Amino acid sequence: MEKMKSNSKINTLASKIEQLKHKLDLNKALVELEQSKLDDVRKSKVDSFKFKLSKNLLKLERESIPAEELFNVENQKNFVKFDKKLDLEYRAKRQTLRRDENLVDKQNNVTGELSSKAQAELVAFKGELDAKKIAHVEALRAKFKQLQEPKTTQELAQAVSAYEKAQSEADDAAKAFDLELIAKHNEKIEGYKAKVDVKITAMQKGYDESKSELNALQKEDQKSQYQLADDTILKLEHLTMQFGGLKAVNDLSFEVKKGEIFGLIGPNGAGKTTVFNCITQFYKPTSGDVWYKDAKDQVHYLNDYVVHNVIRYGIVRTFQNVEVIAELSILENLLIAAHTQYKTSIFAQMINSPHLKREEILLRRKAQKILKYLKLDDIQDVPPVGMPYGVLKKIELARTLMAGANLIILDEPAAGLNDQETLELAEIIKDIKNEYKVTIFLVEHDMGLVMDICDHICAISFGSKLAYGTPSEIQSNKKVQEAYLGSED
Amino acid sequence: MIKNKMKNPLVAKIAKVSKHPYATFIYFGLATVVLLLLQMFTPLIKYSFVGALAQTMCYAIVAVGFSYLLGYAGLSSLGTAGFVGLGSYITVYMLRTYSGMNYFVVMLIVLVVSIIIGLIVGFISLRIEGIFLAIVTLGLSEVFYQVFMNATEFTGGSNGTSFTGEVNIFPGISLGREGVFIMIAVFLTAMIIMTFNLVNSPTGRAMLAMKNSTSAAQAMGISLLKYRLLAFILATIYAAIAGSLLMTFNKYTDPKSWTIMFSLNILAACLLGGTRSIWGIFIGTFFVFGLTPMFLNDIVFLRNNPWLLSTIIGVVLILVLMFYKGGLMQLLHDIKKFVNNKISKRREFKYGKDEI
Amino acid sequence: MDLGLFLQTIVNSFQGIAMYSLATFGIVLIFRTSATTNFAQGAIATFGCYVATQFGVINGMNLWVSLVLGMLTAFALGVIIDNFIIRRGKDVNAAGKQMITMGLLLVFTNIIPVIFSMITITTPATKNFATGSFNFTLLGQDIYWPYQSMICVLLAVVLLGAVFAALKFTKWGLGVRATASNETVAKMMGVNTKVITALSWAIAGALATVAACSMQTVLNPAMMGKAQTYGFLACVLGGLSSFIAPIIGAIIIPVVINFAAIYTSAWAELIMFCIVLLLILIRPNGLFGKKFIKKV
Repeated sequence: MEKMKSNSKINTLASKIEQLKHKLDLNKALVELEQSKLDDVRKSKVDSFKFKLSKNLLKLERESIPAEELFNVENQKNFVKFDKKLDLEYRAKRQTLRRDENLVDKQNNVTGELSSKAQAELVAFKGELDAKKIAHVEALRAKFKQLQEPKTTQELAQAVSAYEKAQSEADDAAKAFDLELIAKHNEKIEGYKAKVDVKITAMQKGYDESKSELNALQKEDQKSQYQLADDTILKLEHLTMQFGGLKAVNDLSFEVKKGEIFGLIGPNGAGKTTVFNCITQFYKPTSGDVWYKDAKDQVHYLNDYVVHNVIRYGIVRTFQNVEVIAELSILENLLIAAHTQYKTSIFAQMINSPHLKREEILLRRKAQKILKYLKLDDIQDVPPVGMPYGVLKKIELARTLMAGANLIILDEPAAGLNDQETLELAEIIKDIKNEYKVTIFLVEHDMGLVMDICDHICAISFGSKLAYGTPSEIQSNKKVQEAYLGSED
Repeated sequence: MIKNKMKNPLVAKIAKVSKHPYATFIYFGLATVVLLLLQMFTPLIKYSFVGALAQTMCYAIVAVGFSYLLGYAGLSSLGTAGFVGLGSYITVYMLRTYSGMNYFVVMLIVLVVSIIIGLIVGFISLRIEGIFLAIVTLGLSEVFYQVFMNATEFTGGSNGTSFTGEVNIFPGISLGREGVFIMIAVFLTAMIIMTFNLVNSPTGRAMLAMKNSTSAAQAMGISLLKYRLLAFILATIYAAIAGSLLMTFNKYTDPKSWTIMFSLNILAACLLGGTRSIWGIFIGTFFVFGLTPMFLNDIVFLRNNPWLLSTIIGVVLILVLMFYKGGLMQLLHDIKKFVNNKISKRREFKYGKDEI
Repeated sequence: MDLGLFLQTIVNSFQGIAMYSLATFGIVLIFRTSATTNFAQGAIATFGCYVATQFGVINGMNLWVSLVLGMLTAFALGVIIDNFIIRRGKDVNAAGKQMITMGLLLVFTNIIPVIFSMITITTPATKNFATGSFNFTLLGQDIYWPYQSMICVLLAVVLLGAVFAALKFTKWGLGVRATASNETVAKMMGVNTKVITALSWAIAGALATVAACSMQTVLNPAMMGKAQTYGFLACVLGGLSSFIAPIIGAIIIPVVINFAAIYTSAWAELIMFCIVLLLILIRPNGLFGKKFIKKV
């Protein structure tokens, strides 16, 4: 068979388009980011404006409040502090009483009720504390009275009206100032937007042009290329993987259709994970071909790719024994998956350039959205250490979504999960398929899960294909039953 | 509640700026300059102390660079001494041969040469496996040592080599001892800020991902070779720059300073403090390189038995590697946790566990 | 280059080959069983050499007995290090083990001159081994081969031969080979991997001690630095996937250095290093290595 030669012209054009797209996305977000920046500036300006007015207002406000109320307000902190102190004293007393009656164990847990005598003592102590508190408040009040003369009702009413007038004036002034700023900023934003729009239109034009050029090229190229059927996303042909003398995968061929959930099953050691590793290029197949069609209908001959480039075409995998990064938070684990989406150079990263900051904000938002979708958002800043298997599996799933997968490859997603979690996972997988319009290819031991969610199943044993078909066909297949349960004779 | 009680926005702003992640690094740089001023204008600080401080700062640059390898990429190298020596020798050769040459041009040459050598060695050894880097760089270090010893016309052989005169940084501006000290402080501050940015950027995360799980990293589109090489080149650049700066301060170098012992000491400095914390690395560097010349030189017993401290450092290094990977930084963290725990236990004892 | 010089250079390389082979074999043995590289091996050997010198040169004991005592010391050190340090760490990976051995190197280098305060004494080889040389004619050229070097080669051949025979024919050798191909499986099959690795560390130390003692130099803590470095390079050059390939690397390196030294003695080692790098570039898994597939 004639292998596909990757067309260098197409590749350069495609990478150029990718960069243009990235720039376009960034620029589209520019206005929004600028707006939030200006909002911050405005808020701080209004705050300092208000602060200037607040000194005078504060004086008026204090005068407008009745003496008793002012006393309460001013001494709020003091009251709270004193209350806390008394409370601690009370608890210490209670604890000593308990200790005296041996009601506390080594872990400081209380083991019983106080005797009535001790109860009485405690109540007496509480009374003492209450008296102390009253004395404290009275002392404060006396001090306060010396400073503050009581006001007549008339005086108060005058002060209140004066304050209210001043307050409303100040509020109006602040509002006017704010409006003025908003107008100014809007003008700025408009100007900025116009500038960005011009840029965006130019970019969009360039993008569209390059894209149509690429399309034309691809169409021409596709004629000379290997063709996959319209609804096929992945095709394995005569795949063989040999370790020394052992053939882990032996002449295996099957197709995965676009938009389906495809299951690969087989007894232990049948070579299922090896098939995955051959597709994602962790192993280079000994012979045979792996074809893949990406979201743009471009056909790729995967054997030619290095392992870390496979993700660029939308193939993302998870691992049998969950590989999450323990030294990073869950959100950052997702950002790792977006690694290929960062376009900033290393020098820009060294100085933390504005460009990088913008990228970071956008990708963080995307990650947060995905985490919210999978209900992980409340633990997003915690490193994934010592978490249940179900959560770790979900993080891996989130990572595949973050990477913008077109084909998600799940290596035993239900391994290590309990029944409840497995059911939940099945729902999530089905939901992801519909929500994100992806194809899912999974290896699984849990027959229930596979039969429940898969559209097509391929069964293998000792690296060779046993059967291919819908779940019910597979269930009734004699060869599969033999491989799993042993032959009857 | 009184409505119009407001905090001064200016104060809030200043508080916010002083909490900026860069701020602590800049304070640190300023503090070293203050020490220099104290030495110049008061008898509080000795002349030799500032010298030792300058050297320790250069070594801190090396160690911070090394943390890319150790803390982020999960690799180790034994070629550090060779690259620091290379930086030193190129600098002294250029400054001696073309006296009055702009120092930044010299540094550029140092950078270019070290990057080229680092690229060659790193590319060849990292293509195989991570742990092979240490082997090949060990060989490189040995070869560098032989070159420093044997290429007498450039390096002065085992007697070492030196240059005299001031260091020109711009036409008309040349730096004496104090000027060079400030230059080192500026470089150190700038480089740790750069390091801080880089380790918190996608690059730093990619390196960490690689260290934790190579397969996950590869599946996420991270090229192992690229990022391992990058970490090694960064370590190389930091080492060469530090070597060059050290030369402008010491004005003398000989091959004996750049043996494998130096590389091991840098490794120790990096590991003792905690490989992923810049402050931890500073503390580690201080213990390994700074403690003796800065403070312990007056203790006769230690001066006569320099092996004692080095041995202790070696033993602690092994223990850290075996049981306590976070190093001193984790120790501080754990002590804090322990103290807090004790305090809350005490409170529980005194007041009881239950609420009210 | 005339034939005489050519043959003489090869004969001159014999001692280096013997020494580096001994050092190299220890490295590959440890790499295969413990999956790490031991940077402290040279230091352990130096320690053994100091012990041998203490008995053989200062106390005037029989040379061979003192050599055996030195080897035993290194043997014991190997067992101790593997059992009490390398195996005891909490989840230490290969790179971590590698760094632990670097720490050991730091400790040994500092502590050796304190324990043995005899700085200016030469190795047993310089002091007591036979002097003179064996002169013979080969292809019409007069060649001389110092007895010193001859003894080293004999020692290396005998010792390495014994260890290879042990690898091939004894139960320990089978265990080593099993552990080398897959430690977990070997463990499950009932191989006592603890004993296997401890013995590997011990034998590596003992062999390197012989290399250290046969060196003609003034004793110093860093004396094995070069031998160890070239041992490592030989391993990378030959490829670590078999026991014999690194030895071939250890043969190539001294020969290259000696031939380069004919033209330029100052840069000979740089030339050797560049050639080694070039060879690794062409064959990343070593000259005789196989590609290694990692399980994901």
